[in-house]
Amino acid sequence: MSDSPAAVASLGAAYTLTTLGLGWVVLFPLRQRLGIVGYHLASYPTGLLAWPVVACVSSLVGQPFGVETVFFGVLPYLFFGLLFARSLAPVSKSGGESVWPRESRAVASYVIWGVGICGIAAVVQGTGATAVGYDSVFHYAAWGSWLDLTGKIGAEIAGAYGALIPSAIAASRVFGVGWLASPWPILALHVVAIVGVGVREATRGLARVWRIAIPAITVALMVASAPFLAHSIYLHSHMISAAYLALALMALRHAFVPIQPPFAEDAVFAWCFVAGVATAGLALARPDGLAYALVPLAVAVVARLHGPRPARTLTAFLVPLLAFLGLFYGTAFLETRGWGGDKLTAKTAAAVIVALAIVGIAGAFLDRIPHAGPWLASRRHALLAATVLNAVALIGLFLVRTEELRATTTIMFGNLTEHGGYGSLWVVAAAMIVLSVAWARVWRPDTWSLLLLFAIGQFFAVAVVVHGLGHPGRLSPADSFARVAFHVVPLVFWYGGSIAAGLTRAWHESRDAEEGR
Amino acid sequence: MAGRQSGTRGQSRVRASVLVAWLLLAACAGALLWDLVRLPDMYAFPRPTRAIEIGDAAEDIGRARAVNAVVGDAVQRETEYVGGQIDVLLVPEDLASLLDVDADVFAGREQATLDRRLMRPFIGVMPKVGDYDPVLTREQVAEFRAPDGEHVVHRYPLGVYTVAHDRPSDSASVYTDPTHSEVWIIFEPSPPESAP
Repeated sequence: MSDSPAAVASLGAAYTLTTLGLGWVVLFPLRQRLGIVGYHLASYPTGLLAWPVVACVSSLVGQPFGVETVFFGVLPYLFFGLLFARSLAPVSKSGGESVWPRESRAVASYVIWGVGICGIAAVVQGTGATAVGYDSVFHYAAWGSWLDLTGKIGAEIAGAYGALIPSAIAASRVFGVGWLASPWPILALHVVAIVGVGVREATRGLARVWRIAIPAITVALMVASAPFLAHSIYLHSHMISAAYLALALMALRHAFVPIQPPFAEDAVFAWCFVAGVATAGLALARPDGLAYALVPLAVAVVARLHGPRPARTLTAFLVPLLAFLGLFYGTAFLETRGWGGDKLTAKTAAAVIVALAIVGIAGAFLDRIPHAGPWLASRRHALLAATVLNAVALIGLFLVRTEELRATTTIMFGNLTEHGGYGSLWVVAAAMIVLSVAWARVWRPDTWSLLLLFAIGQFFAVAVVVHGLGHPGRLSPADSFARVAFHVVPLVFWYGGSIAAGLTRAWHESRDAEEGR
Repeated sequence: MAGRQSGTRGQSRVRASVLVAWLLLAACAGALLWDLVRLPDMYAFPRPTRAIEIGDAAEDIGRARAVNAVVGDAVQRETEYVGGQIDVLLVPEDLASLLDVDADVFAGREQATLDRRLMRPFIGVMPKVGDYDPVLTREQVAEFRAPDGEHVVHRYPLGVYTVAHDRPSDSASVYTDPTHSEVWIIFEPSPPESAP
């Protein structure tokens, strides 16, 4: 194997094209419902999830990573992925019109997206642009090597580092990639696109100049922030988690809060599938990702009630989520006969997965509860109920574990405001959120903006529970929560862009009303 | 007329509120841009670097970790199923050197030493670790081979062997053939106890 930059770049591009291609194939049956932007944006993150499946196959057959295990690991991923995706895309008579473009434009989109993503991979791998910390080398890269060499998941990967990154690294080694650096900037690009598209959708109905300026300024501010720049190349779980969380929210937005109603029913299922896959990615990127999977799940439950959409739409969300989680943690359990540890034990993993399943299944039937069901499904009551439920749960936890939670929240606050490496980002975000709530009558937030705010709140509620019941942390940018808080930063900018769009709309509507138009 | 004036005042109030909100939003954006100026001071995350050499180091660490874990697994199985005392662990020469990687100058930032901690939970103490040197031919080994026959040799992934014996001895020597397909253990006779 040659170590020349050109050779290294080629290997990185080949690995990336394979990852992207796997996502393209699995989502292919849904392309007519996702549309050109949604389909391509979801493909690479979906393809990355093939590698944990390969890790499971590798563990089950007791063979190290290699061409054979990658091949036979990818087969069940493709088979079951395509089978389920195809079942969701019958292109039914009532399914609505396809949003997939004509053939020449579709082919061009494959070429442009493929060349773009692989080009980034080639440049990053060829130049070796990366940033590393202790975890990058001594855990993620090392456990990726271990998985490659032994084919074993082991207690460390299952309990402390999650399936996604070690398996992606192990697979890259099969391609001859020495140090995998490309997924981070590629997923940063995805985050930029998801936030840009999301804010642009919020500017619908405004003049062209605003439809360009507001998303552009929002994205520019996000990209220019120190944590975003750092995590774009920092080999850790954070940009990956942020990308999957943003993708899950984007998918739920399209599934349950249509931008242009009426919406094709098939599209709801297609987007729910993408949301489920993205939530699985979020859950497998880190051990505490399992807990943060509650964020998209709670948004899905609330948004479905708001729709209202049929209960079975949540099935399309839950099946891929639980399939990936069940496969990985089930395989890890079989291999290790149960694992311990100080982060995520086998028992805790099983309990959280069961809890997620219960929330999802219960959420599908909430609107059938006599009296309460119709109330929840009307106006924004589900959102209100979920917010109150979170508040009550947190207050209860504070009362039971006062000392731990006081210590944890004090450190969390210190990291967000001073010590966590965020500069003034969280102070600005908090001020923006408080003002947006106080002046809601001025900018009149739509349902999706409120769901975004709910997602941000739910994220911090989960963080308080995870860190309050675990280690309280330390005042440092290296603290776990200080880093994890980055996952929700794209949603904060998305929300900020939505406020700007709402204010601009209010200004124009006011002017038009005064002029009697 | 009065109604129209009232409506106009209402719209003006809305626009004034929007203007103030916009100014506050702009102030938020300004604060974020100011962070850019302070970036070198506040930027406490790992600095950008190049992957060259890091990849090699991570490769070594990964292999060391893999060997450690395989060895730990081997020792656990041996103590569970064989029940004997592990005399010798055999690790390929290139990997044996990785069992203790001193990484305190790694990338100029990190301080850590890869020790054999992964093995400790299984056995409490460190077994003796040997490597394949000297590599002898079958014929050469045959000349040295003692009629012992009481040792148990098991092979594990990555070329790791465990050697268990019911008479633990510090004087075991280990040999293998060039393909590492077989391992021989030579137990030196214990020196006779001298009379007081």
